[in-house]
Amino acid sequence: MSSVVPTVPVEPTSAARTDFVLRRLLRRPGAAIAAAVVALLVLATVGAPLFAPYAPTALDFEHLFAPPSREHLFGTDELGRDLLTRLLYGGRTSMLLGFAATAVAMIVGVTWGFAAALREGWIGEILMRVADTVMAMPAILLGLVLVAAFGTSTKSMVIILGILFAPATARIARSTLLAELRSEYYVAAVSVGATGRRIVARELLPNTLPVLVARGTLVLAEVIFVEASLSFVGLGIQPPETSWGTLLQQGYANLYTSYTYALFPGAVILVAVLALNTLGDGLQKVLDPSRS
Amino acid sequence: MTAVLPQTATDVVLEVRDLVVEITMPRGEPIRPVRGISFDVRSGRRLGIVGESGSGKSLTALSLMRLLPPRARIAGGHVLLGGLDLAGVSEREMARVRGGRISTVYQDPMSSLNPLMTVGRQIVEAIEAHEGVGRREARERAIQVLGDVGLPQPERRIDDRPHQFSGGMRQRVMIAMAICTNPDVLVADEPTTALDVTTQARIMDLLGRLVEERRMGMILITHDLGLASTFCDDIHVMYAGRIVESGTAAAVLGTPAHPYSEALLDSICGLDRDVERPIAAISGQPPLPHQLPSGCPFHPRCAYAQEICAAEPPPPVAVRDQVAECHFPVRGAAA
Amino acid sequence: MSATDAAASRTERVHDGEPLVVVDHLSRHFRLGGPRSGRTVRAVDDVSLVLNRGETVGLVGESGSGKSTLARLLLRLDEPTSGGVHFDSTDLFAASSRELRRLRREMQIVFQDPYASLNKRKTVEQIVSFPLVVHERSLSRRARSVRVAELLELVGLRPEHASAYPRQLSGGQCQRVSIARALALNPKLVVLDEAVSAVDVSIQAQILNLLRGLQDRLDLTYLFVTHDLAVVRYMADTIAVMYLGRIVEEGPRDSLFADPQHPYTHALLASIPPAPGEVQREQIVLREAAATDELPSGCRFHPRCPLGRRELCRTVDPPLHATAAGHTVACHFPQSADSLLAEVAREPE
Repeated sequence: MSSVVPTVPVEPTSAARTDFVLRRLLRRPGAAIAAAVVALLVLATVGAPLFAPYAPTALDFEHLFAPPSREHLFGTDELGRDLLTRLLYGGRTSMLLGFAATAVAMIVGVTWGFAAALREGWIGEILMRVADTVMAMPAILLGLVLVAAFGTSTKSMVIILGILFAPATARIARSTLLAELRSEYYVAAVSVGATGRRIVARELLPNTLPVLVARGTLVLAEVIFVEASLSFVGLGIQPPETSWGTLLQQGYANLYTSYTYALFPGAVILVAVLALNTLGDGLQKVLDPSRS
Repeated sequence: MTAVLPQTATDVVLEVRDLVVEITMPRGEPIRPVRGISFDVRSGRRLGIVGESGSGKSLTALSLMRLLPPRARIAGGHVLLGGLDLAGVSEREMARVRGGRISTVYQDPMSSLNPLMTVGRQIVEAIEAHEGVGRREARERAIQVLGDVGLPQPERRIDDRPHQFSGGMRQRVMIAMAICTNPDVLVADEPTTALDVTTQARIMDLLGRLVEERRMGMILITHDLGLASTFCDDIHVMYAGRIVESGTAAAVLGTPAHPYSEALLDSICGLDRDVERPIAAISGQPPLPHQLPSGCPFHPRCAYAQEICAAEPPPPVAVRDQVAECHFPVRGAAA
Repeated sequence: MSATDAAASRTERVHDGEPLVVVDHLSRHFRLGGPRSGRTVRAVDDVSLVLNRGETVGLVGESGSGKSTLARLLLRLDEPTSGGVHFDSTDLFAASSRELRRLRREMQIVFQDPYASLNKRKTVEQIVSFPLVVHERSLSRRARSVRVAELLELVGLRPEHASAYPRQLSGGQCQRVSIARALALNPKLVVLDEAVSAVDVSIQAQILNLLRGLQDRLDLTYLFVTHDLAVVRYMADTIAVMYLGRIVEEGPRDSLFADPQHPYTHALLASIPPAPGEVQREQIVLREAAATDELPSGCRFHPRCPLGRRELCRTVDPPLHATAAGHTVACHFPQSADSLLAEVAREPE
């Protein structure tokens, strides 16, 4: 029977679902702040050419390792380049790389997971055991091995990071799809005479999107973190390209000369990962089918 | 502060007066699914609270135990258990009362029993917490009460886990847990809905026997009028948060005074129904708490409704042996 | 739906003996545990049944009786272990996927849980038009909308309900949506799997009236699965009582209710609370069975049957056979309720 607490019906609108979700999300203070931060970061970094106060290569020999000041909000580096600018451009690399790798991870992972869910039996089992094996290895170590194998070009970074996070995504995709396959509305769809691909695409997929979207946000957070880690140890993005990880590395190398050099990249990575995790978490809670 | 109000009669174990339950909604005004109900529970007597979904009966049961869901609270009225107003006591005080002086048997034993603990431990815990006896004594009593509820070989089965019992047996275990502390009031919230029909009768017989033997006051919450008619001595019919009719079971169900009770009885598909004719169904649906009709909540669906029904909430009216909240109660000659 | 619509005589409606669905010795066994040690649960065990066009066959049983499994088998939502089903002379389980698609148009199902069987991310319009989208590709969106509006009206919903989501509707309204969806392709058979068990009593009455009215108007055949004997008596022309995968008593409604023969049927009848004012029927008390998956030896009902301690009952599984009462029973000692009570009284402890 229906639950004890009555549900209040809401006015239906055609765009009901998306702004519904947004509104619910924004009502949670943590998620709202996180969403704002993420939006700000993405905007600022991807739009670095527009927002950066200086050109990334602009040198200022008057002010090497300068502390934060009005001209240089975050200070300067060893060549007098404005750190804020470098952070924005570096963030651009990190973000774009992050989005690309996340896309790879999601596409590979979801296909993998859905295939395993639809083909139960030994094929599904094998697919999942492969995923388990990959997941059993620590991400950074595996990353190092893959970098050693494939090099550190941007393209291979995207692929490596994508591979690292595909298995966990596959597992989640599989269990989500399986849950939908067990639902009664799926049986109803079968009884109507719909077959295979149509059912999966039209009926089941939309119901798996919430979980997958939330997962995507969390994957992005992890990708950024791992990329930063790899770059920090010199096995990720290589100079002259900059990312937050390379900035952090250079800042670390110059730690006693300019404390801000390491502080800001570190802080930005922290904030980005934290915000993305909080957002992903909030999305998961809001989009959870059992509450919508 | 704990309110202590005078008891009105010696055999009344629970008095509910003008109980109001309010739920805060994420958007908009708070709603009131229970809007001022009053009733008495007497020891040894079985009271039935009957209603459909949305009537407020389950929230009533929960508020007696102060186990309302997070956004809900008792917003008015009194729940007097032996002079103690449960609506006002502290949570610590309530924890002493809950399970000790007032217990509930729920609908689904599978989700109400801890699957990882043996049934013995669950009962012993309850006894130890409320009766203040040691482990050994508690275990003795647990075996005793499992026997009382008809479990064969209780001394063996006391160490089994819930999944090792059939549905009917599990419900008996739940009942054992509820009565092991000799409560004054036993609340049964749809206790047989999840059971097969052939088991239902036996469980209800058990409850009836226990109520008599232990002189407990019993409240049966149900949507099943047939069940209420065989089991209960008195019946209150709830609709949209109010008690719209109350009286003895025979009176309310035999010669209902409120149009809702009458219509509900007419819409039941019983064994004697004429198969050739359609069922006299009540049109429309029960109202949601935030969209209550003006005046009498039943008026949009009522066959006898007149202008005043939409304008003013009806006062309680005594009709024959019962009381109905209606401007035009069904006064027909006794059948 | 006026009273006269729904009151069309039931006998007129039933096309004399023209079978629509023939179930032939159907079985569905589940293996539990591993391939080595596994136990078998015989959810449906050698069931044969005929549904004639225009009639309602009621399938009654409690949990574990196999009635829902049987209902799903009839729609080929599951594969049998043995036996077959013929739908309109076509072998259901031998049908190719193309034939099956065609057959699926003719048979639909309404489930028990009003909310679970509707895709919660779709509007009512999308849900009800889904069968049309699947089978009638040539229909324009407009034509589909029109048909959906027709269907909604048919089941007693208003046009504005089309843009609502299931969570905004009550249980009764959701069931109406399920019924509308089931009727979208003008099926011949509609299986109602406990379709009114999860709604309030007053709504149940509305839905039952609706179903009967629709049956008359659209010449539908129903398989009505339920645990409620009173409801099945109201709805069905022929009734089959199931217990642990077998039909234990079966026959025309009037005959079965006038003179039931199987102890289980007696127990079911006796456990229905009497209408207010009626006297309580004498209870046939069933012994409580142990919780086990093992199928009992002999007659599967014997561990719970008041007569079940007899040698014959414990060793031999009784087949369905005709009785003088005009219907079939699977019991070694079929008899009336009074006679049963007397025998039970005489039974040694």
